[in-house]
Amino acid sequence: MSQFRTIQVNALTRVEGEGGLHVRLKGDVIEEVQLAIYEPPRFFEAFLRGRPLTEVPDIVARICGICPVAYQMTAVHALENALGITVSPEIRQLRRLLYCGEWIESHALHVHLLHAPDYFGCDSGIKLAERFPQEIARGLRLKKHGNELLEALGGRAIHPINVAVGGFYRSPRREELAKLIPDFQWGLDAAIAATRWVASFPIPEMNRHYDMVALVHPNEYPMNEGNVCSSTGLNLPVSDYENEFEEEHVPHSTALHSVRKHLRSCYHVGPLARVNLNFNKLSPMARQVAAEVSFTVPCNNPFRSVIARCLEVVHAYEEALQILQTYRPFTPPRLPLTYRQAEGCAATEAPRGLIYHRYQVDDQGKVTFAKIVPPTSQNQRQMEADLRDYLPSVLHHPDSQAAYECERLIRCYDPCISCSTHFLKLKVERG
Amino acid sequence: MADHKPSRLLVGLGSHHGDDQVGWRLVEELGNLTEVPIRQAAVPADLLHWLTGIDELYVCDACQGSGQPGKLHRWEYQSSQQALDDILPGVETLRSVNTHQLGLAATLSLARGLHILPRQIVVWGIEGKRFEAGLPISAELAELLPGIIRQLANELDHA
Repeated sequence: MSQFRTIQVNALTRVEGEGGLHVRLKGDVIEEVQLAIYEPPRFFEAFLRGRPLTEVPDIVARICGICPVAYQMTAVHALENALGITVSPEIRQLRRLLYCGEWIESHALHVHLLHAPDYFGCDSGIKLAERFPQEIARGLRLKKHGNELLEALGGRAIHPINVAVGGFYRSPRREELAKLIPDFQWGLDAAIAATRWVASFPIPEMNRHYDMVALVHPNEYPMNEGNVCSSTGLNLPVSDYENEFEEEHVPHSTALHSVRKHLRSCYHVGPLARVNLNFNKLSPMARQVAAEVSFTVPCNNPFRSVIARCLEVVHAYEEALQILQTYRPFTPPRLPLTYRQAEGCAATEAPRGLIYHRYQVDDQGKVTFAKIVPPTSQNQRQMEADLRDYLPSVLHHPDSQAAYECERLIRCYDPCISCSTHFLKLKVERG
Repeated sequence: MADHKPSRLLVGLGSHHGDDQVGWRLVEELGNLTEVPIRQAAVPADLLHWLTGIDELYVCDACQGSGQPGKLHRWEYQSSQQALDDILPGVETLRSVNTHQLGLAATLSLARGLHILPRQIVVWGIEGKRFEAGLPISAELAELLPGIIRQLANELDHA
């Protein structure tokens, strides 16, 4: 008679938010893999109903302390689409600069303190720092640059308050941004060095057949706009997003799971998807470093996502520097709003992947409906699918080691569970 | 040979929320009363960017749940006398911990790994009452602040 075996991680560590993993085996057969998100749902979409649309950027920023800009950017673009507003090139460029700051701080944190320890068997970034003090100190400085850019542009390092529907509440003075240039010049070199360091990690081999989904823009590496494209040939305007993707309730998670609507299949969003679909739009230095460290696309190894993140940090520094060096204050910083009953949607690229918002507003400027699809919700089913394929290679380990190996794979996605519910536990049942 | 004058830093941790402002308020006042350089931080991890070359670190932060408002907790680390781990359980009780950021205890552990841990650290925890967004410092704590300031200034002057 086959014995059941359960491997469980009650609280996944080094991820944002609260969740766990439950794996149930009968003999060598995997019966169940559940990424269980038990952080309570936060009902942001319902909070927004009845609120003035001008309050939306500041409310949705509170969904996450790491990626507030992603929520703000997606919200303002969706609401501007509803109101028929096209922002000026200056506003658009400043929004890209803000997003560069968020990518830098979020990626630098994940790469150095949350993910890198996994490649050396360390249980924390603090332990890794004892082995690589200079590299971790460099990573912390990169993160600080990202936060300082958010502060200079957004008014605060966390949950910026300068983002408005129609633009910014104020455009920064030239010197406020120019003073960041020396740090960003240092940071570009440091980001390149960090990429070289990360590429030298002992990276496990794993190759999956991913349906990678990211925005693709004809002229730029995607941040605030583009078509929704996939490695399997999908190419559609953001307005068709809900015709192709939908969220489902699952009993074991308080976060919704996204699937391809007609295929009922999972898909992969995040830096690896972005780099795969937009490699030629990366900045010249990022492409040069990619060649140097032999990072080529297509890349379907989730454990190499850490390199993709570093390449995006190099890109963000290079683009941010270019904007910082040419920036001039502009007027008006914010376009006037004319309210009307309408609906608008938008997708942008959060550090962790594509994020989609849709809003309905009335002629008084009040929100009547809101839908928010964060990246981690979209990756949850993909993470479970990855684990099903990965588990046979780690099940010979004792439960605690098998659980750790599963956590390593999950952390490749930099999941933000707080976002997905608008923290992590692994349980494996062996039989 | 001239004596080495220790490099000192006083950091206030806090936020704009109610009694969580007390760390910032204390270092503002102490900056006027002592010669110790001050900084205000919103998250403990900010310390990591300031500790290189610092011999003595003083930290003021609000805490909650272990006494009456204004109660002063004190943890001291001296590299010649004890391990950092001896004071971390106490420091971990401070409220400056959330899911997205390193707390003060983790920050000091990381500073040790980065070889920038000051040889002496004093952490003062000041018990608060209310921490809601937008509120000023509570009347109970505000009333006790002058005495706390005198006590900390005295220690800084005689350290």
